[in-house]
Amino acid sequence: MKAFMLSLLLFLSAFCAEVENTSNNDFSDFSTEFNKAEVFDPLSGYNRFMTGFNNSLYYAFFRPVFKGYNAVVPEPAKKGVSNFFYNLFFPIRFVGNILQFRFMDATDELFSFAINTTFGVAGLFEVANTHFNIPRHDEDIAQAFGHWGIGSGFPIVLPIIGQSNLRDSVGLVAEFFINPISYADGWAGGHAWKNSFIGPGMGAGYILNEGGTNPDEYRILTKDAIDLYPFLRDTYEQRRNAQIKE
Amino acid sequence: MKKIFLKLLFALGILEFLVILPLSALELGTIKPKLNVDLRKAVEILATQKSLKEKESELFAIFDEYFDYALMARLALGEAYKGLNDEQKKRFESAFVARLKFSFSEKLGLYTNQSIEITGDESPNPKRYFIHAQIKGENEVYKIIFKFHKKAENEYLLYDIDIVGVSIIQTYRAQFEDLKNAGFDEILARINAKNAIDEAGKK
Repeated sequence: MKAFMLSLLLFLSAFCAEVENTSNNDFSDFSTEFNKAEVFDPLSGYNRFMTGFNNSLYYAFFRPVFKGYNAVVPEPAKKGVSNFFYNLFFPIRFVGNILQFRFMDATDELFSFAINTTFGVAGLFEVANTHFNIPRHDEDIAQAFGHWGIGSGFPIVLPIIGQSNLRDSVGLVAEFFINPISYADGWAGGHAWKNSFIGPGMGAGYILNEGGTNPDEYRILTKDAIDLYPFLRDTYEQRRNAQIKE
Repeated sequence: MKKIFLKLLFALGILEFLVILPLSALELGTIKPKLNVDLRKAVEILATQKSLKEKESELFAIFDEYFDYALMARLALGEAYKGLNDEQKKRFESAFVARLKFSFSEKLGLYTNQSIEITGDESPNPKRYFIHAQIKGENEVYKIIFKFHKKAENEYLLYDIDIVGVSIIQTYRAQFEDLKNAGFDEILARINAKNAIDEAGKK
């Protein structure tokens, strides 16, 4: 009996050792797949602070406002406003595709804009994709930078806007000059204070409608975070890299 | 003889528990058709009027055998895992698996009427097998990659899910890497705190 148990123990020990070896081999197999997660983050102190600030602002101000908007505005109206802004931002997608030499995709965007502006009543109804099966090619300027091989640089958390990086922040500045809203009352031309606040108003309307359509999107996204700032930083970088590769 | 047999079963039971072997392994040729059937089953379960808890239990009954939870825990913690003693590893795996399951369950509540379909598969190397799928929304298509690794000869298990380019394991890995200076106890405390909130929310 003792001999049997001893042999069984030896067998199990050998098997355990084999399992452990296999596990270690498995582990090293994955080292190339999962990069060492060290990030060059010279602004980490500021970024953590701003992430906390934005997070508090979301719960204290934006979420109640978004929820109120969601409760008051009917679904078709929200959809219409969302379609309108999507159509209005056509120049950003068009230039984004051109800068990546995706001329057919840029042509799709051009046709979509023409169809949605006319048949879709100034873009309020999305018909190009749903009825004419013209695919969407949602490319922005920073994606074009990435396509050219420009790295993301270090992470930057922008007030209200949230997680970004150096490349994407420069892209946002470039987009400001392509975005039609910037020209609504001369903000892009440097005459904003002489005119109205139509542009900023439209920008606020866009944010309100997008947030109001999914008021809990941010809460759900971040609910699983063990540590909020690296969670947002890494999720953002992975998503942007995937968008650039697409 | 009966006693020996019982002891052998007991010992093997402990061994199985130690290495967290799945109830059955997935063979390469069967993964895609099986996942296709199981995803359809999942959509049917989600479309029922049952409580979220009932849905969860039915879904985990289907999908538990796919996951290599132990490996997922190790990959998420990265290099720091090697420095843990056996007791710490066990505690971490237990807390992390619970975290993954809570996370998965919460996302189920977001399901409305999207369709999910498998679009293709690939073997980037002999030890990996990826299945590509997509969820179709109203205007958008969300791409998902189910990533399997070769656990043993013709036995594959899931070690990561990539949703719209975001790897679940990599996301946890980045957070744990940032917290490594705070120490293992802090990481475990944070996971357990999240789990406790979710557990309380279920009651």
